[in-house]
Amino acid sequence: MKETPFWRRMLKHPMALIGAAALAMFALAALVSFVYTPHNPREVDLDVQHQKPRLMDSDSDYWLGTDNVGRDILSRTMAGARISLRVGILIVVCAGLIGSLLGAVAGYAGGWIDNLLMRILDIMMALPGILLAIVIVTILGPSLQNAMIAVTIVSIPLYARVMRAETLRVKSQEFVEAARALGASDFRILVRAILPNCAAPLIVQITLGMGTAILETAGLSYLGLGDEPSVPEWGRMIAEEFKYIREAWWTVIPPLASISLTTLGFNLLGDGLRDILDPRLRGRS
Amino acid sequence: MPLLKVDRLKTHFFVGSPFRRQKTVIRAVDGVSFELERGETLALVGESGCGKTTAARSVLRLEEPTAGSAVFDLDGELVSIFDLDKESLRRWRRKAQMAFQDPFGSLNPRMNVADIVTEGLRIHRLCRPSAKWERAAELLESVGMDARHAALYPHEFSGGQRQRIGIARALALEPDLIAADEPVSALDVSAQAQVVNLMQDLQERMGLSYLFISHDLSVVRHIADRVAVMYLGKIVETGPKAELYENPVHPYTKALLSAVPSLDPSAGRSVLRLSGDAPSPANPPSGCAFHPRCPMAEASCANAPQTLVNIGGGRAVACHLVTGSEERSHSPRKETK
Repeated sequence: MKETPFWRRMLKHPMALIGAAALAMFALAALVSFVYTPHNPREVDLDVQHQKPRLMDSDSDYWLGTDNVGRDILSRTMAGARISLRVGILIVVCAGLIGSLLGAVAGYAGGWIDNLLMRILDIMMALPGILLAIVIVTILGPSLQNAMIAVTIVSIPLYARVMRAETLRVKSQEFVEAARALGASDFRILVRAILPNCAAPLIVQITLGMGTAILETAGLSYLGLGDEPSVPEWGRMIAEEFKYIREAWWTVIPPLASISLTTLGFNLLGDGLRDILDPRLRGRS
Repeated sequence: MPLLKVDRLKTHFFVGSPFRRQKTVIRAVDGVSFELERGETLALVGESGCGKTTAARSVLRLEEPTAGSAVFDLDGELVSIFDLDKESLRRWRRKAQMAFQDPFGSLNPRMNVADIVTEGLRIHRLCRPSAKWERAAELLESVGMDARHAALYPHEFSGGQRQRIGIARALALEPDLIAADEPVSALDVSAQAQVVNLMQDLQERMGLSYLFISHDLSVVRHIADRVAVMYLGKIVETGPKAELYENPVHPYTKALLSAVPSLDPSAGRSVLRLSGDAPSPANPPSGCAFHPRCPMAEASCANAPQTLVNIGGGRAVACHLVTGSEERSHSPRKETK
């Protein structure tokens, strides 16, 4: 009996599809922004400060208005999508790979190696993430890249713990022992028996983590620890325009909404993936 | 020369944090000796927790033994299993495989059947990747399954079929010995019969030797040549199947056998009930471990050593009350009072 293919199962989870659609929209915006934006996102033009969006003023050239130095908000939001998606994916992939490796080694080796690694991670998790990230960025110097490094480091313990828990669960199953009885090396067991069976929770965690990574980077950027203001990063955009919120309230909404929607999109997708992947991988009872 | 000779095997587990002085010792296997001839099936029976699974896993070095020796006849050369270094151990594994108990947990859900059964061949580089499907088909057919099943995944099969796949996997390396750890306990009765018959068939065709672990005495009666009864980490009685079933000597064996249901309604059944709780391997009773529950126990049993003594006819028993008056002069392990 063949089981239902992946894509068909996805159709049964509308929430996951909504999440995927939202992300696709931003991805599209990001890709399009490489070749076209309505205006130059970095071009400063003090004659058109705080123009209203077209919804409010039908003469406006700017769909979402301009910011305090005349830059088109729509263009900046599109360009910002490039940055945020890249940030989310890179951080999570790096933290995920490093964390998974640590977690798998800790879980499989057990004993003092496990103890040592877990205590180190405990210490990392005991410090508030944002504080640790701020410290790292302050040491390395403010730039988007350093903010990304900081968030990566702070995210590692989460993936390590998930991977370790999964490794422990899989390790105790008989097919792992069967592989040992056949004469498989530890490496082979890890790669062929343990890792493939740990994939599902990890995939879900990674998807959920992307939203958080974007949020945290935006937060650091907001605090001034990212790149300089001309770079259209969403968090930075909010920080810059917040002071003008009384006169030009529309300037804050696009970046804010973008952060929220992207995070929401990743969360919905992640939740849906968890449902889709897990029961199948657990097998029929 | 026997295929496998196990002598005074001990596997102890130490429980307790490294900071504590007192560590609890669990004597899972506490001085087990037996021999297994080529082409024969030796059944290790006993209740849950008696150490039979740990004994088999220790012999296969899936669990590191604490003491004792196991000598294997590797094509004429005698090999001490417990002294093998990592590389030699890996090569020796081709000769001794295991069939597992849980049909649901013993197959990797992420690998298809062809990969599962040929994995051993690929680990030991005995099969070119291009020949994988061919070899898988052969192996599946030898366990009575359709070769077309090779592309499917474990969750698409029934429990009985999965056990067959597990057996096919064990057979791939053409071992001399297969340790079967309760291979049919998780199956329904008809599937049990099929798998047991398959195993006997394979044994005849391929000259396999089985170390058959089970708590189910009716299955054991069907497949075993000799039986060793274990209690709390020690063997209490051994003997050829027919005689052990007809004429059990050790009180524990008698109790076990009396509990086996019989299909004959006219055979009156008097179940020998054991009193007391099953003891804990962390805190075994003194002297003969069985004495608190033994219907025949006397005061001297609390101090009596529990050594296995030959009583002739291939039988041995560890009960000083039974052997006290039946000592044979050529038993290698004489009991001393």
